[in-house]
Amino acid sequence: MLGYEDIIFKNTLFSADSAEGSGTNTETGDVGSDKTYEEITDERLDKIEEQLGIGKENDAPAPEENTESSIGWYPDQFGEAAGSMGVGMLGVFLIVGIIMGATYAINAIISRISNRKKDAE
Amino acid sequence: MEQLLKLFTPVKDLFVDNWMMLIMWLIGGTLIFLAIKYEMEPTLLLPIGFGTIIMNFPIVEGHVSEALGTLYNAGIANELFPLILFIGIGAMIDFGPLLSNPKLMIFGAAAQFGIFFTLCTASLFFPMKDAASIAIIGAADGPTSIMVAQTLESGYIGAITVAAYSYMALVPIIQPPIIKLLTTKKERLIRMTYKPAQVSKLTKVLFPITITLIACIFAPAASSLLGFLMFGNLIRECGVLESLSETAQKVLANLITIFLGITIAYNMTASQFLNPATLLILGLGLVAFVIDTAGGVLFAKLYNLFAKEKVNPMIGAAGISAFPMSGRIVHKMALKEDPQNFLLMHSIGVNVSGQIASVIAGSLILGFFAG
Repeated sequence: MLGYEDIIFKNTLFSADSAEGSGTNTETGDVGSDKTYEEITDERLDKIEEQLGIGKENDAPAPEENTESSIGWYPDQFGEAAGSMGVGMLGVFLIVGIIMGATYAINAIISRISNRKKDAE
Repeated sequence: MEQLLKLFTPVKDLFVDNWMMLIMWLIGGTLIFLAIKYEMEPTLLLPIGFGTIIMNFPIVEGHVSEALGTLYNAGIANELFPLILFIGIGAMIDFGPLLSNPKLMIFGAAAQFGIFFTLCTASLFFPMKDAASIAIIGAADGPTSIMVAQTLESGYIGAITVAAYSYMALVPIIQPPIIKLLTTKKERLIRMTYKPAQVSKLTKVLFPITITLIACIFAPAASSLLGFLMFGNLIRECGVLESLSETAQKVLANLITIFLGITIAYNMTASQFLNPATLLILGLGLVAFVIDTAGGVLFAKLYNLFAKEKVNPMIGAAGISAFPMSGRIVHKMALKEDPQNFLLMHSIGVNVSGQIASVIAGSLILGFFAG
């Protein structure tokens, strides 16, 4: 049974624009370019695969490819890390402080609303 | 005789040529043993252990890695599983103790010091993005660790995840000695009165919405994690979605945990795991947990220097995000010192604030080093 490569090869072989340039010679591939039919067909196959989105690499690299990092000695990074530590802790306290303030505000507002309701009753 | 030996050649090739595989089997088996025998975070360690074994079997490796690779792309490469798991976690958390005493949040913030301390230490040995990914082990929060490591494209996500969940399970062993070392008997005996302020339903509904808005404004990188956490909490607190809340707490959380556990094993191949970096990561992870605990306790002691109403400094240790284990440990330690000293509400309040603070710390790490 023909594989899809064979079907496409035959289609490209007999199609009007199966080769670069004009005129066709299905035997030698002498069609106004230096490429053989195999090379031309490979190009056509690549284009078709690209259009169909097949033959793409898996999104996740194979596990063995992930080991790009390695242990080393990076003293130059310490300054940047220490700076990040200072800014980071400040940032955590700041944002948590804002959340804390917002919580107190919510508690106060709701408490005031409920007191007013009780007074009104 | 020769034919008999030929029969065993494939077996010899399998085991002798793949000795690293045997070590990974041992590691996987150890995780399963710890999960079942000692109940150490069984929900994650057992699937990771089992996944480690099947990912390191050369004959079926291709089939298994294809299946796990599909799951990995579907849920971890795009950070989906940690986010969905956070919906379940948010639905489990009761912020009542924290809302009745909001100042406890600062102790949760202080306990994140270990993350940044570990960042400084790890930066000496690893490229910056890997150092940041390793530092986030100190968040003591699995989804945050996975998400940060994945976003920073760390090559050590397997080791980081195993370290994070293993140390979370070891919190009852790690924390008490550090707490005792940093506090005096007198300090451990400080009683904290619990005044159960009535927290209205409206407050409990507004709180998750407010936090999400604050996160979106001040820590955009945290908006997805905090947003999903608070969404889960809102489902719980709104009072009109009981079935959804129950589903989020049980079915959803369990389902995602199953997929998360076994999919993490995609990175537990011998080539990725069996190298000196893994040992160093496990060591740095322990440093992160230790310094987290120390940071929280020391901050509480510092607070006592200026506060009129003293706090028991042990509650600082509960700021580590291992919820609710850390809170319970502090409460038990207090009861051991004084059977009348009930710290549970305070320690749980600090514990849940640590959950929020750890996500914020993670987002800041991403803000510094992502992209």
